[in-house]
Amino acid sequence: MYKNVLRAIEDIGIYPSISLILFFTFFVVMLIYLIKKGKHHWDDAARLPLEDDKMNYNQSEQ
Amino acid sequence: MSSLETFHYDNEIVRKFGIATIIWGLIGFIVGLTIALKLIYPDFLGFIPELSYGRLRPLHTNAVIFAFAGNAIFYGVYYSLPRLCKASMWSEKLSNIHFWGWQAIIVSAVLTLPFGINTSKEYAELEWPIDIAITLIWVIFGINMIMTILKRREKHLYVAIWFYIATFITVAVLHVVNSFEMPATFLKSYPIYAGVQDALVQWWYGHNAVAFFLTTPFLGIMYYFIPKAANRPIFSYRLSIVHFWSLIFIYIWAGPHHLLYTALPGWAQALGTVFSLMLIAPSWGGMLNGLLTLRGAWDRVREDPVLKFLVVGVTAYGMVTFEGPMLSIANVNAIAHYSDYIIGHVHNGALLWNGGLTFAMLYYITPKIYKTKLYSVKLANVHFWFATLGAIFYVIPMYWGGITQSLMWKQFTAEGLLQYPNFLETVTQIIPMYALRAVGGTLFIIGAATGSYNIFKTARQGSLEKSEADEAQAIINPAEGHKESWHRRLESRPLQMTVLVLVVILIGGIVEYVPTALVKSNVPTIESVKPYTPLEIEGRDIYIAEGCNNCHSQMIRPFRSETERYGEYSKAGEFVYDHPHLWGSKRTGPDLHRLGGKYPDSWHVRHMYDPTSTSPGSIMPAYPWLFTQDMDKESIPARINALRSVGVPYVEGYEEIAIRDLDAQAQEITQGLKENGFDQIEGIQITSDKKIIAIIAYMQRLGVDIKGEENPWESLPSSDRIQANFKPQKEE
Repeated sequence: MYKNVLRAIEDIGIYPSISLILFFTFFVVMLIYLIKKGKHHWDDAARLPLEDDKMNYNQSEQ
Repeated sequence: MSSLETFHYDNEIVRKFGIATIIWGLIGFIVGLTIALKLIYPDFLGFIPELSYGRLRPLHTNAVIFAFAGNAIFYGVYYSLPRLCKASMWSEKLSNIHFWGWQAIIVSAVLTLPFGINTSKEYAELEWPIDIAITLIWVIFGINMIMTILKRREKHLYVAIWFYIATFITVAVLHVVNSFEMPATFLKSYPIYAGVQDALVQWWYGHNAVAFFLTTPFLGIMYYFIPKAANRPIFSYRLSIVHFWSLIFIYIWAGPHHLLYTALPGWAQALGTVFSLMLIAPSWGGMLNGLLTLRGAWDRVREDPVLKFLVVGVTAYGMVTFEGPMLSIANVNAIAHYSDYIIGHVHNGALLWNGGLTFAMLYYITPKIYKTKLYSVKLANVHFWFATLGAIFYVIPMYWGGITQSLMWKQFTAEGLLQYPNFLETVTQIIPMYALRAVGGTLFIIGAATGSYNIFKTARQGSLEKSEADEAQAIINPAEGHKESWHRRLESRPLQMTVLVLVVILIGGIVEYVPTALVKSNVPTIESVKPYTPLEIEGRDIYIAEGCNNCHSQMIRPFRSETERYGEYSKAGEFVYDHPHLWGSKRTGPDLHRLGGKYPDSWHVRHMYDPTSTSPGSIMPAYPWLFTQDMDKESIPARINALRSVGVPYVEGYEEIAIRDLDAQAQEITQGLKENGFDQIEGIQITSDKKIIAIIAYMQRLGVDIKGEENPWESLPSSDRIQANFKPQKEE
């Protein structure tokens, strides 16, 4: 009774593997890219949330 | 160089979402406390149908997820998105339609769930008209967000915005796919999926509701508000890029870890486990990124309530995302699943991660938009400690109780018999833990009420700056910077970003889901498994309406401890007519999959009227109204029609003679009860048109088909005519 399910597994087993390889490749390429670009490449982007703080109604801790 | 453009941030909409967050939050928490008390005192609030545990539990989960956390997400997005884009929200009108539409959806949940109108699918309980409304309002939110991003004055999209985009796209996909259902009446529908397939889609949705409703938007919030509150940029922007892509790619696969050891095909279970384990990496990357942002600012954590809530929130996120992968390992899952451990696990996340970040935002934004200082830092600290201690008092008893009970379920004596054969014994053992949990919940609510008062007073002492002016340069040349590296280019192209996000989440969705759709045709058909009779359909719908699946599973795992206790383990082929599946996720009461034939009808009569009469000490609520309320015969033809169109093989025209079958079966049960002296209970006549008869028919049918001993259709009038009722399935 399980033979049909097993057959289905053989057919589809390749898809998860392909996507795992896809993801792994993407991941490694991204890591290499990020390391190559260096730490300061995104410094300006990282400061974006802080840029709108011209007004200083800061909290009570000030 | 072009001149500066002036524009305005709409603080009014931020304020509205803030108020909604607080009000719905308090309501959701109180409903939670109510059901916690009902597990200690089953007769708390009496036995009013609208306030019974099974109906209130979905109200609690929906209220905290979609009303509290949902409004909190929009609160954070409507505050941070325009500021990160240096632009007003694209359409104030759409913002308001979004706000009021979302509140209307919540109100419709309040008006349906307690009245037994629900689909039974966890966190997707709302019926089809509301599902459509959710889709429309969500799309309105998405259009407003994407258009704001397109009209921005800041070329670069900050990481928080990526998380917002991923939230919008993925929740849309999840909600639509999980809501494919066939309406039978105005407020009743059946999912197009059955059994195993329905379970897989449901937990693909259910798990990703956690991922893309309770995690990604809050990560966006974390990436915005931690740098704001600590006044320093995020620890590592590069890490946030890795965090984002890995998280959204991996998360979408993890759903099947909710279905380990069930009738779901093994390959799908294995896939769910592997990806769940991998999830720990991006989750912890994100958590560390948040916490390390505070390096050099830790002294301020001591004083600033915003930072306190953020730190505890992110720490709880780290704990929960460590637990998640561990719970996905099959042999850990074997112990924790179905137990209250999971309830502890989710509350660790909900109370501290979602709750913590939400209150951090409320404490941060309110003084800002009201141009004032926080009313009382001291009171905020009081709130912080109540929230933290409340969560600890909630979570630890649940861990303790969950593991205790689960080990009791599995304990054998030296002779090889179950040591605790009576399920109830394992329940009464952990009632002190339920009591402690209620104490924890109460502490948390006191904290939240204190916080709400503080926020209210802060607002009162300031005045709302409804429209806050800011200025920025327009983006002069969108094509500029073409020499930039590819990810930086991507970060300034919202549409490409959106498409890429969609592709990434669809890979997991399609690869895991489509094969299961194929498997559906391969689920071994078991010839003796037959569709439900009309009376059983009615009984099953009552089971759904009363929310029985909130405490009882219908999925026996292939463990000796379970087959000894409940009987033969559950097979995929047994659920082919189950629209929806009712496998459940927690066993406050025993599994019911092999309940059929276990007790006589009269036992069910006594048990449903007063559970303690058959099971002394039971914490199950009584269901006296099932004896006085009439079953709904009128919509039976419509329901059979709907079930046929989703694939149950009732023959054309059967709906016209179905009532005859229903009446005959109901008469037979009623007659049998009468012969055993149960023509009435406590003065209430038991007649064949009452709900109790339908639910008995359903419960006596549970799990009996596979035994092939008796055909439930045999004695029904339609069986006199060949193939008048349904087409038999051929065994493969």
